[in-house]
This record gives sequence, structure tokens and C-alpha cells, in this order.
Amino acid sequence: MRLIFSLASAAAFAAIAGTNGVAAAEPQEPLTPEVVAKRLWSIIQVVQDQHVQPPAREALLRAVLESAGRSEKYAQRLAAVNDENVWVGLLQEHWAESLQTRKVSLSVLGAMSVGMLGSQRENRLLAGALALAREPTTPLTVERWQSRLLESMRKAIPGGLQYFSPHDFKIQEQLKSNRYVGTGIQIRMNSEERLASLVYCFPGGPARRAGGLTGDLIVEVDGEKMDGCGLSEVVNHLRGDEGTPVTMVVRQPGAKETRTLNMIRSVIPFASVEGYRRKTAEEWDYRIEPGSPIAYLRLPSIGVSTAHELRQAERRMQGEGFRALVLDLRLSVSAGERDHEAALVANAFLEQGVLWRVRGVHGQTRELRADGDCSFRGWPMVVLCDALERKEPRDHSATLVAAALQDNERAKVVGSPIGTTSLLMQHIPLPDGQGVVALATASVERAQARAGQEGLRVQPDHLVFWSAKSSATLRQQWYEWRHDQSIESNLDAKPPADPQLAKAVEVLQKALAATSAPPKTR
Amino acid sequence: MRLACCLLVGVLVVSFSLATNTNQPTTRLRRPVALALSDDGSHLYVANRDSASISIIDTQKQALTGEVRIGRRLVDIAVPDSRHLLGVDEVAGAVLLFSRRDADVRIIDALQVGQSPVSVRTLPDGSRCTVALLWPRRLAIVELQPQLQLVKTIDLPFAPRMQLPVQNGTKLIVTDSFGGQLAVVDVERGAVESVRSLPAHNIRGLCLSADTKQVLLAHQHVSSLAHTTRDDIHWGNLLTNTLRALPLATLLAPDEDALRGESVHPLGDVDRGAGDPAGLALGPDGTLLVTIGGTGELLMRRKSEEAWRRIAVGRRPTAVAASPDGRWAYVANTFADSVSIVDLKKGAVHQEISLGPRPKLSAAERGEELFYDARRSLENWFSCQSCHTDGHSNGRLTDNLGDGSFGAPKRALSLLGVKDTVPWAWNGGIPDLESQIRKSVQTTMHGKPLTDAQVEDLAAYLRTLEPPPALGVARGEKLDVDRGREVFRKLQCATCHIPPTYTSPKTYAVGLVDELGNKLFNPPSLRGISQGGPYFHDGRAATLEEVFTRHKHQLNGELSARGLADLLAFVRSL
Repeated sequence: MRLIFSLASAAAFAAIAGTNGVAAAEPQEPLTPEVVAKRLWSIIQVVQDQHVQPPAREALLRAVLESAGRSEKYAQRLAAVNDENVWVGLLQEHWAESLQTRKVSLSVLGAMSVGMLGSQRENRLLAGALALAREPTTPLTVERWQSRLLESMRKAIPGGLQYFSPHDFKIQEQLKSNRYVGTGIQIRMNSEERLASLVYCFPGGPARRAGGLTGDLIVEVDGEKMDGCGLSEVVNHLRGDEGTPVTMVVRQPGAKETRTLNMIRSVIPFASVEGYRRKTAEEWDYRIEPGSPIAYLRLPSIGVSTAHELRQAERRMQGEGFRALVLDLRLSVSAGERDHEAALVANAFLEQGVLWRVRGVHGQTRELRADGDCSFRGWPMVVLCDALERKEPRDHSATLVAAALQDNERAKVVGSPIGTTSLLMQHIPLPDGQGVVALATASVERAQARAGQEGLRVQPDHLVFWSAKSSATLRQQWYEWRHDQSIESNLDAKPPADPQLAKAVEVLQKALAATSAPPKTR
Repeated sequence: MRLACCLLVGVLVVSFSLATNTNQPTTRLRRPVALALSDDGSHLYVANRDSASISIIDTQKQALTGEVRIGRRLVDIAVPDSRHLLGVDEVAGAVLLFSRRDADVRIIDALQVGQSPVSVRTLPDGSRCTVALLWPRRLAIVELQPQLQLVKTIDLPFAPRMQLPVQNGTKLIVTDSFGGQLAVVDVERGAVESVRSLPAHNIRGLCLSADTKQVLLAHQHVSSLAHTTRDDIHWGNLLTNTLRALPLATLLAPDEDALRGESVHPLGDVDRGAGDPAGLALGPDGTLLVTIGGTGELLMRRKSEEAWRRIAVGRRPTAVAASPDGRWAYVANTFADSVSIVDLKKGAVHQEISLGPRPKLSAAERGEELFYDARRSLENWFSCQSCHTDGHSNGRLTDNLGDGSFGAPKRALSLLGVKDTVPWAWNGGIPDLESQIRKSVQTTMHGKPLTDAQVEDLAAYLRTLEPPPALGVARGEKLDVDRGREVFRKLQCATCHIPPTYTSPKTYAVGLVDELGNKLFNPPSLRGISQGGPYFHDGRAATLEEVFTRHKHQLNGELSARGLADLLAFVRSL
């Protein structure tokens, strides 16, 4: 159940299954302890220069060495680390020693992939998938050693840190651009059959056009058997450049006969705006209740295309008699650093005003102002928020949007409190093509200071928790229904009760009643 | 008769050649920019800007039947009744009245109305016309009979371009030439009733909807929140090309929010932008027609259809008119010196009529064509014109890499007079115009790199752009600037703003800091400064007054009210 649940928001993961394979074209430098040491040195420099609350350099050096629990051994020598060469020497010793100690556990194998792929959410998915694949325990490699050192350093940095190799960063950027190249599938591991299976084929994507079906098991890719391959291997086989062919042999679970899907990899845009329920594979119904003028939009993620999709949704609603809007941010999970995209989305609803302020490393402040061109002008609005334990700590995007709309009195917020840290992450390239790191380079201040709301915390105007008795089940049912809606397998299912949405509708009905009251005579 | 003509236009004697009428067009650059159809639809009159001529097309024969050359720079044309034509000459500052009988067009009267007239509209009763004067920021109301006579001028708070008479000509909607302002003018009272700021710039289309309940505007909008990255351009976050419909009733009620009840129709789409909407017309059956100047297309949407049909026409189509029976659309292709006749039933070009042979273009003329070409940008979303509207500025902030990084949006700088203002960019980081052009095309527009020859052509075009006249000068006011010049001297303004260009090549810390901590700025030239605004790199001062009253720009002590007034009078005269 939990796996399905986590896949509910895995649109981005699907993109990885067939993301443009830059790796295949570019030979990567072999990873040696020296390369790792130099890379870490560069990262520490960048953190010192660009982090908004940089930890002391020595603390970072110590944190790296602590990864093996042997910091005391190096503690006295840390003070002498004043240039890169000394540091490289020290780490080479560390590596030699690490090699001799225990083998790496499966959980570390999972952690390794953190360095490899986009967001933590995607990594968690991959880590889980790898665990499912039950790969055998393997000896320590330089890659794993690097991941351990990075993980250890990450914990010592406020807001954390993420490292991307140049290749991984390109994938991350493709995900962020919503211009993924691939076959348009979402996959998971079928542990019984020990094969990857299609969870979903995106409308308009090559796999769907070639006849791919939900549940299909991937038997072969380009003539190679996939038995016993982990998800990452399957993904590697599916990757390739836009316009290149890929052939997949699939079969339904339990079935013998196979089908061959001939596909050409192409750009697959993923929708980040959805309606209440699907009308058809391509169309949404925005109405919650028949005859009601209240429209419903949900943002499964906030990305660079969201503002564009909102404009499209507004056009589709024209002439349908809508006058108010529920914006559901409850299942919104965005990979990577999306505060820029969040600003564009908040701006899409605001006629004017300050979105929020960003305070940078040198204390300079930037005030982000709405540019005046907005959608759904004058409609009463409710934003739905709900704290999810699943949510990434670094993913501020939904919180930023909710905060901006609340502070400008553009929307009432209904649900449970969300948001924590106010640190904003930014991608900083490392020198000499060593890759890119994401780290906190600024902090954000809300447009209106509110009592009891520290940092970015958004306190709803109407607190509605899922009822204590049935909370878990209700919420789970609702999330699953929403997930089914997003993958269109369940067009006719009746939505379960949703106390937060019910409150939102009530708030909007009152607002509409107030505005449609007969105007006073002049 | 010819003698009479010369006498009538005597005031313009320097600028006018004799009216000639010929069926054999000569070789010259025409640059057609405006169209007017005779009321019966039998003849199409084309205003050619550069040749200052009117080409006449017989719409039944679909053939060119004549050309009349008059004046210096003909920029708009209108049909007041069944026997006359009106035109405006931007350089001569004149309204021209022509008699017409089919292909026989003769000038019968001319009147100087003020500097830089850019558009002319006839009021519904046909007895008067209104003329928008760009740099004087003014409207002129002119009576046509018994002879052209200036009846009234109305000052506006912005440089006007498009005009739309409504409510039987008692009200006039006027829009900004560069930014997004819109004014409703009471024609009878001669007063501005209301001024609205729209999320818009480069408004080039203005007409009423088929039911006459909405005002339609074709324009662009640029967001200061977006970055000039491929992603933000591709998804329409940076710049949108738009047809906006505003309810007329709310627009006419001065206290109402003009945008309430609006509807917005994007032009173009991701992967295929429609940079620079340039002309707008409505067919008798409600078919919407928008020309896209930057891509050379006519966008058409029938009343029953949801999607726009895109029809390739000639280069830089700037004006469009529909035949009274709704069968044809006529499109003026400014850079092709031609008119496309589009079959609206088929949604395809029926014929392209050449207005005459073109000479070999000069570097500056080729550069002008590049300046207005949206195909120089990623997916055709915008051109140089989009932000540096007609070489001036849209007054909007854009977050581009002009200052080296994102995070500190900067106001688009005017390019009028740019040849004298080395170095370029707000931080003065670009030492030559050619480098600035390359950088803008590559990092802001994300277009293919220009060839050396293209860069030279664009630079040659930019070097032809002169600073605008000061507002007071353009209005012909008697300016007393001696005291102000003395204040300017005493405050040592010329340390940075050195005459005659009133700028200098260095950068200075003047107490301004951008969002990224940059403190050094290259002083913009003060020539034509009264035609700019808002002011400073981030537009923080809405007016020139605010530069001193709110932001105390380089004032060491208090400036007396009298001193400020004198200083402003001087600066506004530059």
C-alpha cells in the first residue's frame, strides 16, 4: 500500500524511466578517491562563499571525516588542513582505511543513489525499488564512499546540501523544464515476477501510442532480457536522445504471449494542473458538485509550466459559469528548487502586491511583486493545505504559494498548518565542471508578518483536520482516489468524504452569497 | 488644379513634392503601415511610410491601380466619407485631406497639428477627426469642413498611439505607444476622464468586439518575475502575446476596475510563439484578425471556432482590414512592400500584390528588418521591438543577464540616441554596441547567434535612432530654463551627466543598490528624459519629481520647491 501511495506523486519518477541519456554519449571520468576529495573541497568552498548561514569550514571538514565514525583519529590534523593537497592526502588515507572495514549494507546502497538522481523523493522511490529488487550486498566502491561522505556533510549544513554530477544535473534540469525526453511511462518493480512493470503510460507518449498497458511487464528492451534487473538498469536501457528508436517486449502478468512496442523517444510534458475528476483521458471536469459555480484545481506539483497550464484551465472554464475556485495544494510535491516556479504560480493569481521577500547572503533584500497579469481575476478563492509527513522538507513551493495568497488576502487557507524552514535553496555550479550543488543561499520572509507564524509556516484561516476516528483511512482513501484520477484508471469511482474540501466549499459559498447580494442603491 | 494643391499645402512646401499619379510604380522603398477601405469596399488605400505615398488597389480586379506621392512620412490613413481620405505625416506634423474618386486621389488641404502625429481616426459623423501626437503626448481634434481646422488639443499623461471612438464619437479610447496605459477621453469636453494601467505594453491593436460591448486590445506583457531562460520563454512565463477583451461599460465608468470581467486570449503557443501582435480587425461576421508583425503571420479565429488559424503572409504585417462582405482580409506587409489578400473562407492567402519594385537595402534598412523580427528569438516569442518598442522603451522591468545574473530585474533602456551613450547596460559593462546586440540576442532572446553582417546591420539601424524631443519642446511651450540650468550647475549634476549627451562613460555609486548588491551604475543620458519613465534601474521613481522628492537623487541638502521646479523645467527641456 505504501509503495502505491508514494507512486501517487511519482510523475517525475516516470520521466526518469527513459530520460534523455546524456551519460551514454559522454564518457565519464572514473571516480577516484582523489577526484572525490577535490570535489568535496570545492563544495566546502562554495558553502563558505554562498551559503546564507555557512557552518565553519573546520566543522564541515570534521563532518566529512566523521562519516566513518573516526573523527578523533583525524581531529588533531584538521587544523593543518589549509590547502587542497593536504586535504586530498587526508581523504586518501580515509579511503584506504574505509576499504578495510565492514562491507556496505543495503541501506547505504539506497543512500548512494541520492547522489545520482534528482530530488530526494525520486531517490526514495529508487532506493525503495532497489531494496525490493533484493540486490546482493556489494563491497564498498568509491561511489558509495563519496555518498557517505556527502551525506555526513549534508547533515552539518543548515537546509542540507545536494550534489549533482554534471550528467545528473542535466536530468534534473530536464525534469524541471518539463521537457523530458523519453517513452512516457511510469514504472515500478513487480517483485513477484522480478520484472519492472508499467504503472502508467502518459497520454500522447510513445509507449501509449505503441499500445503499452498498465501492468505490462517489461521483458526485453532493445533485445536485452530484463529478468532480475533493478529499476535503475531498466531505466538505463530505456534512456536515449530525442528522436531515437527503442523497442520494448512486454507481457501482462501471468500471461505467456508477449507484445513488441516500437517507440521513438520524444518530449513528454507532464501536467501540473488537474481538475476534480477526469471526463476522458485528456479532459478534466473542474466542477465539484453539479450546478455549483465553484471550480476545483489541484496542483500535483509546481513547475515551470504550471502558470501556463493555469491560463489554459481558465480558458477551458470560460462560459461554464464558474465564479469561485478551490486550489488544492495538499498533494503538491515538487522536485528540486522551485521557489522561482512558486513565484510564477502565486503571481498567476495575484492582481498586485508583494509575494514575499528574499534575503540573500549579504543581507540584501529582494521584494517580489505581482506583475498584474493574473488568471481568475476577482474570483473568491480557497487554498487547501495539509501537512504530509511524506513531504520533502526542502520543498517550499506549495507553502510559498499558500503564504503569498494568504498574505495578500487573495485566498482563505483551509486545512492543517504547513511549512517549516524559511531557507531557500539554489543550484550553484562547482568549478571545473565538477557538478552542481543545491544549498541554502537565501531565506524568505513572508509579505505580512503574522503572529504565531514563524518562518514560512502557514496557519490556515480555517483549521480542519481529518477527523480523529477515521483520519488515516479517510485520508488514505481520498489520496488513492485522487491518484486514480490522475492516472485515469478509475473514471467512475465515487470520491470519498473530504472534510477539508467540504469546508472550502462552504467558505466559498458564503463568499459568493456576499458578493451576489443585491447592490445598494446609490 | 495642381497649382491650387500647391497653394493649399504651402505651409508644407519644403516637405512636399508634387502629387503624381502613375500606373507604373517606380523603384523605391515603401514600407506600407496602414490601410483604409472605401466604404463600398471597392478600393483599398495603402499608406506607405517611407515613400510617403498612397498606393491604390482595386479590390474587384485585385490589382494595383495607382500611387500618389505626397509628404515625407505617411504613417496613417482614414476614410471620413465617400469622397475623401485623411492621412497624417509624422515628419511634417500635418494632417492631410485628400479628395478621392476611386483611383483618383488628390491632396486638397493640409494642416499642421503638432509634432509626430502617429494616428488619425474619423469621428462617426464624419465632420471631425482626432489625431494622436506621440511626443507632445497630446490629442488634436480637427474639423474637416469647410477646411481643416484645429479645434482643440487635449494633453495626455502618456505618449499615445492607437485610438478608438466609442459611444457615437462622444468618447475616445486612447492607448499608450510604449507601455500599458489607456485613457478615456471626453471629446466634447476635451478632457481626460480616466487613465488606467493595464498589465500590457506595445498595444498595437484596438477595436470593438462584434457585439460592441467589449474593447479588444492586441498587445504584449512581460513579467519581471520571470527570467530570460529558455524554460521561462518556452512556457510563456516571460512574455505573452495576447488579445485582451475588456468590458466597455466598466472601462467608461472611471471608478470601476477596468480589468474586472476581462477575458484573455493568448496568441501563439508553447513551441510556437506569436511575437509582436501588430494589427487587429474584426470581420462583419465576427471573425477576429490579428497580424503578428514579428513572425509574418495573420491569425484568424472565426466566431464559432476556439482555435486560431495561422496564415503565413509577408514580412512584418502591421495592418489588416476586412472587406465589407467578410470574404477577404487585406494585410499590409511593411517589410515586403506588398499587400496580401487573404481568402477568409478558405483561410489561405489568395494573392500577394507588390506595391512596386524595391531598391537594394542599406545596412540600416536591413537592420530595421532584423530589429522587428521575432524569429530571432527562441520559438518566435518576441523581438527587439517587444521591449525596446519602436526603439524606445516599454518602461517595464525584465530579469535578464544584462547585469550578469538573475534576481535584480532592470528597466528596459531606450535606444533612442543610443549611438552617443557608450558604454551600454545598466552597469556600463558593454563597451561596444555590437557586443551588446550579440549578448541580447543570445542571452535574452535565446535566438541563434547573429552573423557579423547582421550585427553590423542592426548596429547601423540603432545608430539612426535619434533621441526624442523633450516634452515641453514637443508641445511648443515657451520654456524658461536659465534658472534651472543654474541649479543643474550648482548641484554639479554635470559630473556624471555631461553635456551635450548628458551622460558619461563611467559608472558611479549614487546611493542606489540593486537586489544583488550592485551599487555602480552607468548614468543614463538625460536627453529626452521627459519622454521616459519610470526612472532608475528598477523603475522606483514613477516621475521625474520623485527622483528628487522621494529618492533625493544626489541631493546633498534640501532643494527648495522653487529650485526643484527650476531644475525640472531644465531637465525636461533636454
